[in-house]
Amino acid sequence: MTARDDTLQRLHKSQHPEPHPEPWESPQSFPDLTAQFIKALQTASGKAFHVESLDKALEKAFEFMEEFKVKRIIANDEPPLNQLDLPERYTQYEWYIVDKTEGNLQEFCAHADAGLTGAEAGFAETGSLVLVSGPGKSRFTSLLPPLHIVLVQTSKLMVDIFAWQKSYHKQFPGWVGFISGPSKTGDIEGKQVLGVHGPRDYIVILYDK
Amino acid sequence: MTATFEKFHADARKVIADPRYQFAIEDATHTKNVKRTAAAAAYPPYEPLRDHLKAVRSSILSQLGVHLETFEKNAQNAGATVHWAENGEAACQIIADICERHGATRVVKGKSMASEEVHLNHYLEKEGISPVETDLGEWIIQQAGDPPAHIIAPAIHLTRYEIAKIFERVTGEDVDPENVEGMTAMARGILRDKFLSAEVGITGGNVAIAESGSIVLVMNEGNGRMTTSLPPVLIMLIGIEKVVPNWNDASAVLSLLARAATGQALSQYTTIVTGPAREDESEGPKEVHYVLLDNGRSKLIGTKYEEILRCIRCGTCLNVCPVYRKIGGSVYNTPVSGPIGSVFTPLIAGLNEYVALPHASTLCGECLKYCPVRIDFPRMFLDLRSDEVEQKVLPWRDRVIERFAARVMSTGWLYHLLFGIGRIFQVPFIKDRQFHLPKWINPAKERRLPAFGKRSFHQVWAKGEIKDDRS
Amino acid sequence: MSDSNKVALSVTCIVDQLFPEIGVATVELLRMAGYSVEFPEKQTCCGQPFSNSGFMPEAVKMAKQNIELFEPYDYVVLPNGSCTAMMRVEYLHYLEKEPQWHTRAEALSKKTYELSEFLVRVADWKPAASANAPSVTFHASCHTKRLLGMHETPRALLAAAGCKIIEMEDPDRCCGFGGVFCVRMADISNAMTRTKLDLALKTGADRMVTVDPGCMMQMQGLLKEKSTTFRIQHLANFLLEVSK
Repeated sequence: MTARDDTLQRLHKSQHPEPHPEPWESPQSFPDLTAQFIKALQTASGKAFHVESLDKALEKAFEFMEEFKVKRIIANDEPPLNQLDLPERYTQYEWYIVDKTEGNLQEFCAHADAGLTGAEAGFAETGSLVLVSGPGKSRFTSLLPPLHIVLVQTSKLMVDIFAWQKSYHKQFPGWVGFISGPSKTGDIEGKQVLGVHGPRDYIVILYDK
Repeated sequence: MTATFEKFHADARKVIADPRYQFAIEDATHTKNVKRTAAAAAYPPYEPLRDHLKAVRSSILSQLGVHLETFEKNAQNAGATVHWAENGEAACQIIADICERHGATRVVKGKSMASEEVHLNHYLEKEGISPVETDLGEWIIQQAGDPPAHIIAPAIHLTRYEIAKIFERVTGEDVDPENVEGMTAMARGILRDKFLSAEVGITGGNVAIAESGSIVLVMNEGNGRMTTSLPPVLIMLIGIEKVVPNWNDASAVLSLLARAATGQALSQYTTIVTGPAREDESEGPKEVHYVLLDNGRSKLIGTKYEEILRCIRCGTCLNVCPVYRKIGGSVYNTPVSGPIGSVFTPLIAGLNEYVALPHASTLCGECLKYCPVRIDFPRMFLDLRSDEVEQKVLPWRDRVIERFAARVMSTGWLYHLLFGIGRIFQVPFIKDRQFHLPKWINPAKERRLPAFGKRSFHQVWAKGEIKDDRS
Repeated sequence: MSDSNKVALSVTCIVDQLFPEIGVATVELLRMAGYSVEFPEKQTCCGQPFSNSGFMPEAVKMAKQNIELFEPYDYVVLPNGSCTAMMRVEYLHYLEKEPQWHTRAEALSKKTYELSEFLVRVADWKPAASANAPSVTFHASCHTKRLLGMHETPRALLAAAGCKIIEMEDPDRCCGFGGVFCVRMADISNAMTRTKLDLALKTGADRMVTVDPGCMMQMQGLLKEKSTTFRIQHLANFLLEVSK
């Protein structure tokens, strides 16, 4: 008898089915999802900004690129970034567009200064963004470089994880991630340090249209 | 690994006598308690969600087999290979086989309590595979050769000076102990190389979701993301009790887990792995293996100890336990320590081997009060103590003494006689109504035990001294 | 609830043999509150040291002895929160599998009170305010809080007596007694007690008052290391002293 059979047999013999509770309906609500998102992300040591338009969002993003003395950027090939012709607009940077640029992505990332992505959705309550793997979306854009900037439309914000869970009906791809702040640790004497394995600086720019 | 009374007492004495260790444990647990309290206060659904999650976990355990089968099916549909490990040795073997099949020797590991439970690192090292811990705290104690002091923060017992010395030893460079950021950056560099060259990644899992065949891993550092995305082969080891049927349940777990564990609304990174990289994904593991660990868990279903499997491994019970706050994790001699470890470990690794653990409690009940899924630890400590007596695991001397004491206390004439004798013979040893005994003979060590009263209340009453004026 | 003014005193073994003055004070307070006290002399111990260590058959035997002894009375009062919890809550648990005994335990449970509970909730009695009442910090034992869910009645009595009550930081921190734990794990127990004493002394209060003689003797056992002026007293003795 295999381990599987052994375990399952034992479990079936000793089961005593109790009814499963009704799904949890989250009572949370926020009058201003964007304001809540920003507050939560700042608490988690991330940075968040709210601007009116995608143009303004781009402007802000590249202000940060200058501030952080960025030279090499890896960007996902996803909305809104894929409509912006970034390498043509910002020729002063060396670009790697996921699934478009030739060359080894990981090698580029090893020396990339910034990663630029969009997001599928966001939870206002916890200041989290949902990112997924797939064509044009690398898992490493948001992970390997020391700076990660996200441009996301405010209409993508939901109240919390339960709202997302209710709305998500797709198959899961190989990787889905909720990012709720920059990489951090308190393992040395409880002192908080940012940028352990993931990005040290995490900036979300929310735009209305 | 055992926790006999002798070893437990000896280890406890050592850590109690170490003021630096005492400060570190007290400070770390205090901070965590403050953070958890604040997070709970800031999240109005916290209390009702506890009750909901308790009911959810309870229901899951009541038909665990059904959920595991659904999980397996959906995991396989997503392209994952599902393995079942009946015990720790089997789990290690399965994982070692996967590594060997790929000729892999460079292995990176995310923090996993299940892997500690089965002593995975030790097993792999014997097979010539050196797994590198990538969680900063775990990496530090791996270098130091220390056991984890806490399930969430394994290196809290080490000072920055001790940690700096570890870095110096590893890098051969001078390290400034005041520069905590510098040390972290050093670790980032060292471990980044390991991630990029790793052939196999091994992690644990916080919750497995049957409806999608996914395993979720939460973390703050990002090492879990590295481990689940960079190496071409990924192995995730998870206890069978951690499965939930659907994403509403998983969301409930995630909504309480970080708030209870670290006071965060959510961990910085929540990684959801659902099988290997798809065909249209150019990166990510080509092979994903889920190893479902039984190791005694299935035997607990249907018993009075079933509820211990509700645990979501948040560490809250450690932080509020006044005993843990004095002795830290190493004294328990099991990677999962505190109240959860004191019940779980004897149950899966043997009551005989861990006889002291169910006694490492005053039954104060703080664990029950704050456990997100309201596990009744005090009740289970008492049940385990009773099992120890029934199974003759409690040392025979203890059993003889207590049974005699029970005889005395339940038999009127014997009760009065023996205490009466005590009242006479105590006289040379008492002063100010306390026993003054040399430490080696005093069961309370430095504490003074109270003397017997000059007369018992029975005697005072019988003498008629407290007459009722009205009668 | 009965209209009777008679209570049976379950003095508890620790008070009986170690601190009989607590029993005497309890009787005096109950009389001040208008009740006459009976003392079933066959009583010895509630059985907690044995259930605590896993000796269930012995504990069940003593539970039955106590149920039989006390069930004829209208009220049973104990100057001990921990033993009250035992008789009121734990007995029911031990006798789950014996329905007849369980019913009897339930009946007893309904009329079993810790002293301060009885004085405030049944007797509706409070001490007179004293001008010289010392400042106190109140120690609520783990069992009293957890199993009886009770912590306001002692504080109500202390407040009525005119005491300034200063709460300890980390008030739920266990004192380290834990019954048999205090000798089985003496080193850890003592370390916990020292932490608790530090918290108590930090309040600056003159006294610590408790309704648990077990906690009281535990802390008294190490008090002299830390202070020669701070006193730890049982609520009953304290109230009598203050009322004089």
